Amino acid sequence: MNNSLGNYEYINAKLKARIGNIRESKLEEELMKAGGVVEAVGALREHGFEEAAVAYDKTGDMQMVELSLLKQMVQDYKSIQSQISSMPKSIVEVTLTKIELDNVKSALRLWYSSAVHHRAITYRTSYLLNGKLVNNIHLMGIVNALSFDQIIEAVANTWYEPIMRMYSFSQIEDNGLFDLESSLDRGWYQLMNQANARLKGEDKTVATQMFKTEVDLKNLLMLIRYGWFHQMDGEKLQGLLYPYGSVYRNSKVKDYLNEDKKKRNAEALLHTWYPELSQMVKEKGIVNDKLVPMIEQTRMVEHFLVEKRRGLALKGLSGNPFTIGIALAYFYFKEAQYNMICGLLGAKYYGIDSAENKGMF
Amino acid sequence: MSLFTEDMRMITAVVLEESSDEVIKALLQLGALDFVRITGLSADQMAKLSHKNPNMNKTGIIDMRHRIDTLFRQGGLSKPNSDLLDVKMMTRFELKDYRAFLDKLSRTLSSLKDQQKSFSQLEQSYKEIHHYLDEGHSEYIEIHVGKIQGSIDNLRKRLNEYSALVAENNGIVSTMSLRRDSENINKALDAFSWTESEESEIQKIGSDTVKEFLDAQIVEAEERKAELEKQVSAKINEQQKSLLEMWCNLRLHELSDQIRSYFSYTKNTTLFSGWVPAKLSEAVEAAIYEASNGMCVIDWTEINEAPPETIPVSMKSPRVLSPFAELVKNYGTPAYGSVNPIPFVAVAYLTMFLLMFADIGQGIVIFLIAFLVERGYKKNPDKKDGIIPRSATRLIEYIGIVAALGGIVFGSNFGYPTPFRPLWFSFHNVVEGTPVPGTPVQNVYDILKISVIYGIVVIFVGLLINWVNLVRRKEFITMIFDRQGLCGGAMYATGIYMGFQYTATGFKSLPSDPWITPVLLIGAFGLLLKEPLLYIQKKRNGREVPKLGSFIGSVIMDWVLELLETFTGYLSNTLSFFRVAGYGIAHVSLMAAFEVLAEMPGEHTVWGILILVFGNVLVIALEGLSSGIQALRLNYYEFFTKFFNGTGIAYSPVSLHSKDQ
Repeated sequence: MNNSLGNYEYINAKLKARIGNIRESKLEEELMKAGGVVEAVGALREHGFEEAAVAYDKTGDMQMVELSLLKQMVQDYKSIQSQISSMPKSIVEVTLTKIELDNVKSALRLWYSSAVHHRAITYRTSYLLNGKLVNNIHLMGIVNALSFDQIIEAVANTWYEPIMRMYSFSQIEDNGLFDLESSLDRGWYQLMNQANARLKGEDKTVATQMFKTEVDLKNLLMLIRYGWFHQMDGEKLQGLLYPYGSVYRNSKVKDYLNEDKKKRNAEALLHTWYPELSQMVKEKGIVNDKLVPMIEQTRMVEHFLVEKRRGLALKGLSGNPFTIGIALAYFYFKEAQYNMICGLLGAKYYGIDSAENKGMF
Repeated sequence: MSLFTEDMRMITAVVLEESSDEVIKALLQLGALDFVRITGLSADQMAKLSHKNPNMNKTGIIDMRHRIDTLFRQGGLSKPNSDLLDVKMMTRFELKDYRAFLDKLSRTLSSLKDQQKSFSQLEQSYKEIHHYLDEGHSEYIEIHVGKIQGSIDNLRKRLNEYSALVAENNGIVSTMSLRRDSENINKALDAFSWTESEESEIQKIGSDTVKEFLDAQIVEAEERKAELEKQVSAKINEQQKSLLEMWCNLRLHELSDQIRSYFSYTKNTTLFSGWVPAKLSEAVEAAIYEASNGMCVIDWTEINEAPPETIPVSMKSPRVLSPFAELVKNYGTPAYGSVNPIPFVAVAYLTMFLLMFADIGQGIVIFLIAFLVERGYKKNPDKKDGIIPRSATRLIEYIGIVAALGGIVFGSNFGYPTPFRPLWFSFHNVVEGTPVPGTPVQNVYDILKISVIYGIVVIFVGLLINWVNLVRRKEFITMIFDRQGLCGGAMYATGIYMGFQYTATGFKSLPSDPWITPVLLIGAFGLLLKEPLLYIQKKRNGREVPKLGSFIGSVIMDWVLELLETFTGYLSNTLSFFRVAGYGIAHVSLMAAFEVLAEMPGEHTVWGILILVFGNVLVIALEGLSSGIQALRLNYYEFFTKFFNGTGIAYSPVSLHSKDQ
């Protein structure tokens, strides 16, 4: 039997069916139409999120619902990991590491709030995902650390350690967590890149293509958000970019970064990759008020790039059904669904009406 | 139960507009009319008709009902269903009033949930401390024992932000907090002139006191949280009656608007039309008459006045056959006026399963599982379908019963031969090569022969049904000259005769009866005649026909293909029934293999029993499922293809029990 066929025939059929369920689900519509949080959570019951609904019944706490959804997603990924052959497992592992990384970042933020700002973090630690995901991380060690060394100890012998060692308490106290979190994100992309490199045949082609496109989108987003909207210093922004894909290497990006930050031309930059988006940004920019269109334009770019990412996942679905592409598409849709649920539940909690919800999601 | 699809009649009625609401209610309560739009009037007359927009926003109504459904689920109540509906409950209402009611209830619930959240967060804070104590992470905890100047309540308030615990025992105050908060805690303690006790005994007592206090606080938070959870359910339960009334009213308006959408209006009158089963026509007429106080005109159209393909099809069968009605429905809707396939499917499906899976014990187990699952669904109507969906429970009960009956017929019980003599022959003895001398079935070839004969019977029943359907539709040419008609049937019967004769000679020679060749030739020639005869018929009736040149070419090509299909199709259809014998043999063989395995650890050992139990479970799950699927497959592909014309439109009246969207 063809190896890739043997590896994927069962799991990919299953994942395709699940993606179909996610895409056809009326959950989003029901969440939007719900009259409040209680009704919105009730809608979760009908769509395979019974545990999350029970978490709300027991606690009344939306963040516990989010935690339950996250746990469900982790369980799901782990079951996929157990069902595919050895090599692509590393891809699932890196995907799980992304969840782990977000959890570590949440723990770091709690620690920062407590240790630097001396704010009470009390119950907030209960929103962290406990238990081992991929690496042995002592989360409570991070949250309760009285020194930065104790944080490094909590992540000892993992890929987080060398990155953490590049920082000190005083640096974080002065500059906040942004740089550390960005470094961790870059570390994760490096892991992903390494995992892709270990793949073979069509798996490698598909995964690398999806990875590079995603990195390009993320880099573009940073260039717009930080470089254009926040007018960040060129050198610093260069350091934040993920060193992969075509955007990173493009000379126009270097010119854009070297330019006076107030004179950066986002339209011209976008035109290189997405002329239609560039045109849209240009049209939006005609409005007299300068700040409002800039926010709108940034949002529009973000929305466009999110749609592109979605398109990429859909493309993965329509390609060869016996590659890692289906699993990667599944992870995308699953994460998008998780974000959609959390976003809409949050919107319901804060009383944002459904019309606005639609605009946001 | 009718042998054919139900007779239908079409009603067209005109009522005064003022009584249209009452007529809608009456028709909804009766639930017998499958509405159609008024057509067939002249352009002038059609121009005089108008349609009305629904009274309510349909999406708004459905959304509102779903909101109520969700609230019911949140309150631990069963979702309302159509059994509660009664048109007498229908009242006028404003969507905005209902929305306001639901929003208010939702806000009340949210407020209770917010309170619950506070207790949950408190509980989580305390549990974090408790967790560190349990796990021996005392380095994260800070306990102070000493004295303060000032009110302990004020100290508590001050430390509340950090979820620090403050307990008192005989004037000794003890606090427990997380070391990460020590800077703020110490500041607060200093503000109360804290004096730390130096005595180890007092330190111990203080420490124990605050730990006990921690346990008590956790219990209290848990209790308050649980209490609020109950209050949420209680609030919904309090409003159950109002919510139910709202739900029913919404649903009734939704259905009424659905009926109204088929109505056409003139200046003062309302027109509507629809199909009704003939036996309900009097009841429908009476209902319209009564609702309109006799101010109505009713006209009936009989089926011969309407194109057959526009008449909806209703198949009546007793409730006991409902699982088989579902099987038919999944396949399609037969043409109007054709034979009702439900009873035939019931017999074919059950006998096929019986032949493939015959075991008393395993059949009873299948029946009991399905019975218990069905009871579970009945007890909890909102329960989601599990591995055995609720729609399949009754069918599985039936196959459990026939499997047990099969066990009596073929002498099998949990894979062992029965101690009593089987009604027909022992499958075990035949498969294991120890048949009872003198019985008609001596080896597996005899079993294969039985399955083929069974298949031939099924196929011929299918053909017979097809011929009856064609006669009823007056399609005599097709009935005689089609592959599934008399010509095809004659060729098939001849083929069977030849096959049996060939086997009887030990596969040495084909029969040479003088009638065989003429029958086959007439049959083959008959197939060639079908299309030309239909061509002539169409032409005579003035219907469009293709050009003669291209038609002749296609007729010859079609005929060659038809001949090939007739031979290969009937052959494969018949041989397909080998699977019936195959599954029966596999069933006995598998169980025999498990018997051998069970004897390996020694006679009557625990391992042996476990192997047998495992074997039975495996066979019930896998073979039971396969046999069920194969029986379905044989019905759909070998039986239905002989007669089932799935071109009908299902009869779908608007009733109180219409399918929810």
